[in-house]
Amino acid sequence: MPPDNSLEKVMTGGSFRVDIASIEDQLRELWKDAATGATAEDESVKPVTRTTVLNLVVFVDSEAAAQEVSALLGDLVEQDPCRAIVITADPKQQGDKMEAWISAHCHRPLPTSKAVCCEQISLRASGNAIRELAASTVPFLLSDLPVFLWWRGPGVFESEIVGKLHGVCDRLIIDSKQFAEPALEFPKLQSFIQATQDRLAVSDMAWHRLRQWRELMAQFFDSPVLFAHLSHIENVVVEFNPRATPGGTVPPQAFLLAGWLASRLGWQLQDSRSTGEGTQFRLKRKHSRTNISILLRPAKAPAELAGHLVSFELSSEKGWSTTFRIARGESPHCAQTEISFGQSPPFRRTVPLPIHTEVELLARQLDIFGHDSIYEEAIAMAARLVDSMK
Amino acid sequence: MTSVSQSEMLVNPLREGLEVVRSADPCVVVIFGASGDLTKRKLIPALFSLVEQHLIPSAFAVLGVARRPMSHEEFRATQREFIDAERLETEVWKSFESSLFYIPFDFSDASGYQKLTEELQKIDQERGTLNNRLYYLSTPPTAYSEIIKQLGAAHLVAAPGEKYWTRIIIEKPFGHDLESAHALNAGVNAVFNENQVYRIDHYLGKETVQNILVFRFANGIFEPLWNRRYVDHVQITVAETLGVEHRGSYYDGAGAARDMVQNHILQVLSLVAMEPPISLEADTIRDEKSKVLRAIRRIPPQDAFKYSVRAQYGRGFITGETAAAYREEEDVNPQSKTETYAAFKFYIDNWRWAGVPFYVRSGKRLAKRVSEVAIQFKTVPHLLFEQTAADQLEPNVLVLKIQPDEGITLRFGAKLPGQSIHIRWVNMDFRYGASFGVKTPEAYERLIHDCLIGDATLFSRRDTVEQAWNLLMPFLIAWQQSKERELPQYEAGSQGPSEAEALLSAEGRKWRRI
Ligand SMILES: NC(=O)c1ccc[n+]([C@@H]2O[C@H](COP(=O)([O-])OP(=O)(O)OC[C@H]3O[C@@H](n4cnc5c(N)ncnc54)[C@H](OP(=O)(O)O)[C@@H]3O)[C@@H](O)[C@H]2O)c1
Repeated sequence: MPPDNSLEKVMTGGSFRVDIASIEDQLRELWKDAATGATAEDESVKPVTRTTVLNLVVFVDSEAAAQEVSALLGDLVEQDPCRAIVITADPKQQGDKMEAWISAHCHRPLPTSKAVCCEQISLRASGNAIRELAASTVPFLLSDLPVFLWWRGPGVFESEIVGKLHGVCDRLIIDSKQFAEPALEFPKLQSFIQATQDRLAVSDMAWHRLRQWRELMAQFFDSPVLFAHLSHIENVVVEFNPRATPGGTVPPQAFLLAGWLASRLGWQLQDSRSTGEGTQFRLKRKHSRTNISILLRPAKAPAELAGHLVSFELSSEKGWSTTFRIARGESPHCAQTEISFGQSPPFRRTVPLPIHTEVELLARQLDIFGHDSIYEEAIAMAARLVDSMK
Repeated sequence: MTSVSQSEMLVNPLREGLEVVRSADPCVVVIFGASGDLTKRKLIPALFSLVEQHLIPSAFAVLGVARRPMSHEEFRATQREFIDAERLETEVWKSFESSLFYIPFDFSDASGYQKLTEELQKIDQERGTLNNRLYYLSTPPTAYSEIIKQLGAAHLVAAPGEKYWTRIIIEKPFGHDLESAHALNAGVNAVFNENQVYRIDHYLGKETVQNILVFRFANGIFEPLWNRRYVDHVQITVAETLGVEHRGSYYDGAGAARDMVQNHILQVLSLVAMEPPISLEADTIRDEKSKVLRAIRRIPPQDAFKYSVRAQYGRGFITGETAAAYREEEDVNPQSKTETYAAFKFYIDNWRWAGVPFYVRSGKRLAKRVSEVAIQFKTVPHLLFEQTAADQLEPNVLVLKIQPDEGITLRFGAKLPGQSIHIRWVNMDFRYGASFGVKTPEAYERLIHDCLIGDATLFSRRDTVEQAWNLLMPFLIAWQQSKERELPQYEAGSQGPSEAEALLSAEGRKWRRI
């Protein structure tokens, strides 16, 4: 039996320790208590509704990260009610131990409606018990609902846990923005995608961050008049706020954006070099001799934009010189889009370009099922780009 | 086809994989009636929200037209009222605001359309809006015909085969009766092709109405039951607690049947009753809806009272306060015979629905605000279990709730735990809000965006508008002719008039509690 005050504790965000073997029983007891009055005629008497639309397994490598994730799940469940299983592989802990907690996240969709609650199971392992984490997780997955594995830590492609779980997961969520060494990790990611193609799909928070840049760039060419310019682009410049990592200053997103553009437009990579300005790639269109340059170069930007993109520009000199540019403005949540033709004054406007929070990015990943072939092609190209720099 | 944008034919490789398969074409939205309430309350906020979602191209402008003189700046200032202060502060609003323009003229003044032409040409040059136009008629309905005629005369409508497009959105009410709707349609179609015309029914822009389509056609288990073999009857309810508010003068000339049933309710009914469309294209869905309306049995005026009830609210008590009677409301004729409640019994004479009554009702000042569709299934042919006072044989009911708490409920019988068999009727509940906490878009946002990309699915087509009027006319005529009869009354805050119960009780059925 859960302790007497467990319901209240759990409903107000607390957790309590349980025996792994009795997790499901404890949860059942808890919800039975919570639903007291559930058979009453009057709907409003029921204090809570438990809702689940998916299973979310989150991997973290420290207790602190587990705490962060728990806080974040509180916000997430308002949009995506789920059964969350947070698994912590904590190498700092002594001994071969596995412990478990249960907790809940509740909210009211409307002030007058019943509270909607979701449950969280937390498993923390140390020493040799870490190897049992995957096997211990599987029994808690609710059948018939999709399973997302969010890897919030390093070493995803080498992990034994991923190897053991990918058979039961539908999607693996990563954030390639966190890649410390893009030159090593993009090729690994690409191999992973290929190797797990028929079992699992990968989704990437960084890809979602780029969505707005892609949308705005695509929008220029939705206009039938401007569409024709797309086949004359010769120069691409991606500016970024440099970061300091062992793998260099170029953030992974810059490679991913370049990879997306080149793969969408069918450009073929020739070579790359470092210039005084930044990293430059030379590409060619199919059946054409004209060279295309993609330059990734650092630019000054406010501190809150560390590791973010600053601008994205496509231009050509053929006939009229034309430029299509998106640049973050003074305020970090806006961007200016600009089209200019020859000597005419450029046409500008300001659009929102919010910096998404982790929970917003995560919620978006949970809406996606199946493979995103555009992303996979962008990754393949990004892997080729970083490879050419070796 | 003038209504198909050219960008539909070009495949933009950078769009592949993005959620929005197409953003709007460069264009100018011309709002007639731009100094009015709807423009600042709904249209400009919807357009701004579309800009924030990157759904509006950079080559874009809004040109407002109305009678009162105002400068561009003054017009911009009036449009800030319904935008939150925080969003007004942003560079994004400033940039959007600079694309709002205004010119004043009286809709009947031909020289005004000359000014309009010049202004549009100027905007095209400065902003690259490529001659594409969306006209939005947000004016009193009496002005529709005049504006349309003048637009035609001023050659402001793209002819078929042009490289640019013209579309027109017409606000409800679309006609006052069959004859006026027919005349208006004839006027519209003299100038615009039907595929350029978007008759707005903001109810169809609501997420939950679209959910009906998904619920029916994405689930394999309900469709086999969705017919006369299993369904006993269907009830569609749109109940409001509000009275006429500040719309007394409009409402008194319309009434519940015109305001709600002719458009919203019959649209919902046709979505519930239609056959599966062969695709999700605008016209295939609209064809199926039209077939339903055509199949609804026409009732001769002499039988109208057997198939309908209308009533008016008297004084009452609602949400803890006394409420005035309809005839005491502002701008309402104290002798008014306008109905504030209307209920109908319809039969759809086709293979799927023969003999299944569709009861629909709508009223103001009722006990609760509810919009829902309830499918009541037939009871089991024989109850195996002992019947006691506690074990009434009840039917299964599937309720699609549209407002206020969108969701789906299925009622079924379950055994009460214990030695003997006692049946208890329980609800299995699904709430969109609990499972998907995402904010649903405003109906106007969805509809304006659909029109900007040339998707007419959620707009009413000429034939369905006229069919709906045709269906209601015998009732409206009978009600009108029975003027000598006192209109039934119901207390504000109640379940509606007792007469409405009789519409169902004769067949042993009853309305669901509101
Ligand atoms: N308001 C809503 O929430 C709502 C909801 C659903 C449907 N609707 C429909 O939307 C339409 C507009 O509603 P509304 O509430 O915005 O109406 P409104 O506030 O009365 O505005 C009417 C507009 O039309 C202009 N106008 C009228 N006659 C004119 C003329 N001869 N020449 C030039 N301009 C003229 C007025 O300009 P001046 O005032 O400058 O003269 C004003 O801008 C109506 O058809 C209504 O049924 C409204």
